[in-house]
Amino acid sequence: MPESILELKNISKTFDGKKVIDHLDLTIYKNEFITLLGPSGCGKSTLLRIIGGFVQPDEGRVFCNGVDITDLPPEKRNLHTVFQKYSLFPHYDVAENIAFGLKLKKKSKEYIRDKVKYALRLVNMEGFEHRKPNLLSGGQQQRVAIARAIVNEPEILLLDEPLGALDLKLRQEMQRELMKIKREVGITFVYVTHDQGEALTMSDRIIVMNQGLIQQMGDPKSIYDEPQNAFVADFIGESNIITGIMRKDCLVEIQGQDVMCVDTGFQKDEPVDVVIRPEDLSIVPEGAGFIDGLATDVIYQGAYYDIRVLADDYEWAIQSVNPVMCGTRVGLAILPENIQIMHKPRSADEEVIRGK
Amino acid sequence: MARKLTGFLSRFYLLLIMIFLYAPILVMVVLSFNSSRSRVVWEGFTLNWYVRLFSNHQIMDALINTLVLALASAGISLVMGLLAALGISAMRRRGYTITMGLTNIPLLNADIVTGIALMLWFIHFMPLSFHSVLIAHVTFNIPYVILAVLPKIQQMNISIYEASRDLGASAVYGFFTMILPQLTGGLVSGFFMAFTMSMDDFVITYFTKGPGFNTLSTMIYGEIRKGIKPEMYALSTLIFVTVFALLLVVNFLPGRQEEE
Repeated sequence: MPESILELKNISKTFDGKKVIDHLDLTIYKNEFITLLGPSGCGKSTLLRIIGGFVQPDEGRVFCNGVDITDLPPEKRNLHTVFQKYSLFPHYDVAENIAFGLKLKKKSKEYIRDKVKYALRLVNMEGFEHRKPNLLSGGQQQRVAIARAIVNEPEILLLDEPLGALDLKLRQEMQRELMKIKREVGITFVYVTHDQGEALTMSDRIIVMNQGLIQQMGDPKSIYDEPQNAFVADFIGESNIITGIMRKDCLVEIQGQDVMCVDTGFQKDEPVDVVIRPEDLSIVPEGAGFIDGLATDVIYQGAYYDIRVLADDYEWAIQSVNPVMCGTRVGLAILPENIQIMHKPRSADEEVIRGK
Repeated sequence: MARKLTGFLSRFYLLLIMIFLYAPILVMVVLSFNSSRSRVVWEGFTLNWYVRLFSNHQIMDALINTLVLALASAGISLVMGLLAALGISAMRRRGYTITMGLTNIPLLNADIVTGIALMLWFIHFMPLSFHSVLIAHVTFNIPYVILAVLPKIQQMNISIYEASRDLGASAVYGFFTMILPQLTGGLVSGFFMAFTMSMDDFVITYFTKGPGFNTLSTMIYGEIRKGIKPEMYALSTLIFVTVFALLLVVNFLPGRQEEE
């Protein structure tokens, strides 16, 4: 059992009458890369600001190494934040920015110089000591911001969509860089993003949030392969989510066709949500799959073709390396283990609560 | 041809306005150097009126009163206005609208109403003197400071303040190193605006001052009743030059900072 470093207990926060976080419990372990993932307004940034000390929760406590830090101001907490907007101090140069925290701690000049040098090397920014932040590109500014936080040797680094403002290529480069930095300094990273790709690439553990509640948590593979509800399935990558009926263990009826699956433990003839990833479906000749349909749309995406097949009023999304002709009738095939069966939520409330 | 004519007309129109605005002041400036007491005949250049101005104790006392009053009231209203602006910017929509409305009333209110009201209020609590005038000036100066500082607060980057707190700065240290430098432009123009308004004021000062205390404007008003002396031209010229210089500073200082 890994050692926990941060514990959130029963956290609630309301802004202007809207519940942003609803009785949330979360334990974060030492040295893990944990990602809070969700659409905007799901409460992930607020949660990070509560951990950082910028927002006081209405209810609940925050513990760091077993000590209650809920009432401590940000400067008294041994964790640092990399903000979404480049929040470098514009009137200081790069070295002064990085030295800011160390100077406040009254470290010696030599110590500060060595540390600044080390931090700049860590983020690949050697030689930029005396640049002003406004002369740096977005990616460079964010590197300096990371160096500025890490140089203070926090136990936890909080990152609030730090790559949100960068273009795609730079973002991917920075993702690798962040993982490298994480390995080198060996501290806990709490990362907030709405980008599922980013979350899947970097995280040890992903917390999917919606409407102030945790929908699902787990390692990237389990989140992607076994989404626990329709929200997670839909938010993490594209999914076909269709209503089916569980005939018996390992047999589900989809669009009137019985299909083999591997899920058990459902009631006989229980209505269920069936989740199938587009890349798990394969196009076969008409009649050879579990269902037939009309290819209505084929878009070339580089690595694969994005194909839509209309069958009985449901439009299936398929990712296939082989193209089909638009307007031809095709069959769809699926391996039993790639079908994910979920209980249907009884109400909209249950939809969001079940993730806990 | 038509284009030339309209160009000429628009420049002529501009010239007329400039003459209308500045010719009277220019005449006064010229007369302050006239060696004759006459208001129409030029009899040669002299600095005599300036010499007499500076050797006149009554005028010099009033000048010092005016400057001390302007500096003190601008300084006090700067601090109070800054605090008020910070508070107002943190308000929700409703409170913000109401408070800004209340803040604007003293600006729009006729000076004579403010003057009489303040006088009636003061005579219940204190003798009318320098202190009562100072309080009155602070009262009407605060809105100018708020109006100058508030836009700067709304534009400022609050995330660098949060970043400084995050890195270990106390609230006070973060405020002075991260927030205040961003507001300098607004604070400077607010201070000079308040300073100018205080120097400029006659009506409110007249009602809230006690006997024996005079600023330049109230003193000149008293002197005029006895007849205008050319020292007054010299004094007015100096005031005009000072205010003009201050206005230049107010208008160009924030702009210069943004260019850097």
